[in-house]
Amino acid sequence: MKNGTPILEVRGITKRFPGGVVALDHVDFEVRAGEVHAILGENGAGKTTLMNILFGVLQPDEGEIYVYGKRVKFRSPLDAMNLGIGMVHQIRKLIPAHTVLENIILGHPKTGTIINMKKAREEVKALCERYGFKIDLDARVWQLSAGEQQLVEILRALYRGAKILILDEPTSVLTPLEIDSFLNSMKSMAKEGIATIPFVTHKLPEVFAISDRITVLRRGKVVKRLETREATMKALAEYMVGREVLFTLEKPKVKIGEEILRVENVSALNDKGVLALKGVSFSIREGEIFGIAGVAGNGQQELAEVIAGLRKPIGGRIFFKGRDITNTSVLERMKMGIGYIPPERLGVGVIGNFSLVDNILMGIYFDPEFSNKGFLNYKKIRDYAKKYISEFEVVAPSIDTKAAHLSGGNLQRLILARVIPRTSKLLIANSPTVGLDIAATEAVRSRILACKEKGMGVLLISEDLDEVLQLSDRVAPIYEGRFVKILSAEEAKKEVVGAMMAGALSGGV
Amino acid sequence: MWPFIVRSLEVATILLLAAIGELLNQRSGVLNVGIEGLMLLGAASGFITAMFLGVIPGYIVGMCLGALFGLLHAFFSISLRVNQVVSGMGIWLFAMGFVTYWADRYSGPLPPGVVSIRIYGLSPIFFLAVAVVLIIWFILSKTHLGLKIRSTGENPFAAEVSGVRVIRIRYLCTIIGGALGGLAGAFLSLTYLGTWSHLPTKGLGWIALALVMFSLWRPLILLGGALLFGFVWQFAISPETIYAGIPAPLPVLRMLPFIITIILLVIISSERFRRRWWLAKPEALGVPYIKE
Repeated sequence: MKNGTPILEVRGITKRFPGGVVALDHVDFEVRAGEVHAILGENGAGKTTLMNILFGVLQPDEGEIYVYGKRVKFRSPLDAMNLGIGMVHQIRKLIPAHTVLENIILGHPKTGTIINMKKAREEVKALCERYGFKIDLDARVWQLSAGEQQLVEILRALYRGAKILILDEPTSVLTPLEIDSFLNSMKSMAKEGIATIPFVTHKLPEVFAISDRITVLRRGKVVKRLETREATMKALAEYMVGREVLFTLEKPKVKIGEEILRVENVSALNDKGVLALKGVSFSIREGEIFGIAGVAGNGQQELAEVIAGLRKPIGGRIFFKGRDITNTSVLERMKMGIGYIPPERLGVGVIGNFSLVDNILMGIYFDPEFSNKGFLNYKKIRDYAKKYISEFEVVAPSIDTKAAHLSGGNLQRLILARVIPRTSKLLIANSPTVGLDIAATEAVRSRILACKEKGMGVLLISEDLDEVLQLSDRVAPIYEGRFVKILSAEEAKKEVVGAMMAGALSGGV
Repeated sequence: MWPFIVRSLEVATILLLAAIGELLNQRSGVLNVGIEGLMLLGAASGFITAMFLGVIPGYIVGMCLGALFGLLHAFFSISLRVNQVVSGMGIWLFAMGFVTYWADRYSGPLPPGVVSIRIYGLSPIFFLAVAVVLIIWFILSKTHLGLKIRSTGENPFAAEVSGVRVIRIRYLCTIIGGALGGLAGAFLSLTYLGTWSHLPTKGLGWIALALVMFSLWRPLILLGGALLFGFVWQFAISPETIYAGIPAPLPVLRMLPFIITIILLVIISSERFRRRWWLAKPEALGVPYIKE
């Protein structure tokens, strides 16, 4: 198929869900062979629904889909696959215990009754060479990094003869180095005439690097179609959100004060009993944001939990305003003015089956103002909850709604509404914006900066390099349980920090 | 000595049939803790059928009833998404009551003339059981169907997007597992015992379940384990055939298979084995598949 000829056309796709929600409203666009056609949208813009329709998981109520100019109807993903549509899921749909090769050949009609491993291996190898992919076919999937797992999904789709590849948030879990190699594989696929359709919410810069054309969705409608070279980041964000977005938040000028937190040579085990944090020392002062940049699983989670009091260190000491708090409880630390924002919102951050009020209550129940000799004063509690839920702009039908019904962004606003008003000295924010759309991300970041402005110390942990660099006064890249180096904001260049958190650069350089 | 070996191979046959069936359905992600119940149903229906129609119809009926209850378990745990342990326990409890009510009135030996075929004293079912183990090993490790079964047990969502019909595979494996459990029971009452007495399985089904767990879900290890347990079980019943003056009292010997089971379970829950065990365990075992 010659590059540039239209191979997928979507016309007037409409999908309504029970309860009258219109997820997609007459969406149309067209994808050409060998092009990268990005689809942008905030959470709730209808991206997932559109993706599911293109892959045959859902059926549209109205509208037509054409593949190679022929009208098609998908009853299941199998139909879509047979017509050459492949999908790379954000939540990996792979079998961790099986080898790469087994994952690729699973379910393919070509595999036959008795598996001919030799033949299958040669075919997949040839495919890898053609696209320049490097991967060990006998490795078990659980041993692979996020980027390699993504490659396995791409390979699986290509092995099935996919000509159109749908990618769900392709760069969101990759490290900076993996993103580079991912962009390369996109290019080699485009050269072979394969059309790719990345769906993007969070990471805009990569969209520029890879895409030819962009379609922006908002509230189920196509709001803009444009060539990538005509677009700017700011304009795209505005199309997505529907209003002006502050991309670079103004870092408030704050006098850096006394030391609040001092961590001395702290080590800790992870949940599996393996040494994950290997002797980390640093300090945070009033009005300072200390950023830790690292790929998940390098000990930053354990560090955050040790400081919050959730995990016992096996070595080292922690001082809060000069006082040794290594062995104090979580409650005592909360009372001292230490607040913790965990990365797992629904698992650790809130109790999904509790109402918003009760979730707020979990942050204040110990305060004599709200509980008298063990009896809760619900009137005061509700007033308090109402005040902060509206101040932090949590969108919910009422304060008695169950927290589990909130979207990611509102959930994080709820957590902030519980933690920040009670935090007076030190805020620990672990991956505060992961998975949030642009508007929510902006809100969370400006709250963190507001904490700094009030003279609090902030420990910011994030995989998002841009976030760490933009907000922090000092940055420590973490790799395999150790800080590679502690850098000042001026020293912390994106390339340097990126290489350090991937273990490619030691602190001496 | 030979009769002892034959008897222990027969116990091994019972364990093999029951356990390989369970291994298959666990590999597809369905846990059936009711093997003891499947065996009781197979044993009772097989025995009663054999009384009137002969041994071979007895085997067939036993197997079919096992398959039927396998289907029932599949319906509860796959289609209705009932907790699999609850459904399996239900089958066991139902079987205990029903079999007592239904078959205890026939207590006693099979009528004269209703005897199993034996070659040098050994039942052909033993060879069948070994063959089934080898076939299931081959299917699981060498065929596309086997890969689909293993994938379904590891991550049904991933299997589904690769075009595997998860529900169908799980039904198939659970029904086969049930049939083999029923066959194991029929073999117990018709060939190994030849008589009916109140609840004759005496925990063999639970041992089969443990056997699957510590075989690390591998058919060939299961084969070895079943032979070992066949020996131990039989030794506990008639130790005098091996060692006449054995000093331990009979009740202690009778406990032997269960004590060994406990010891083995302790060993496999040690740190070293636990890691391997978790790696081998089908990840979606016991988890109902709910399409998004």
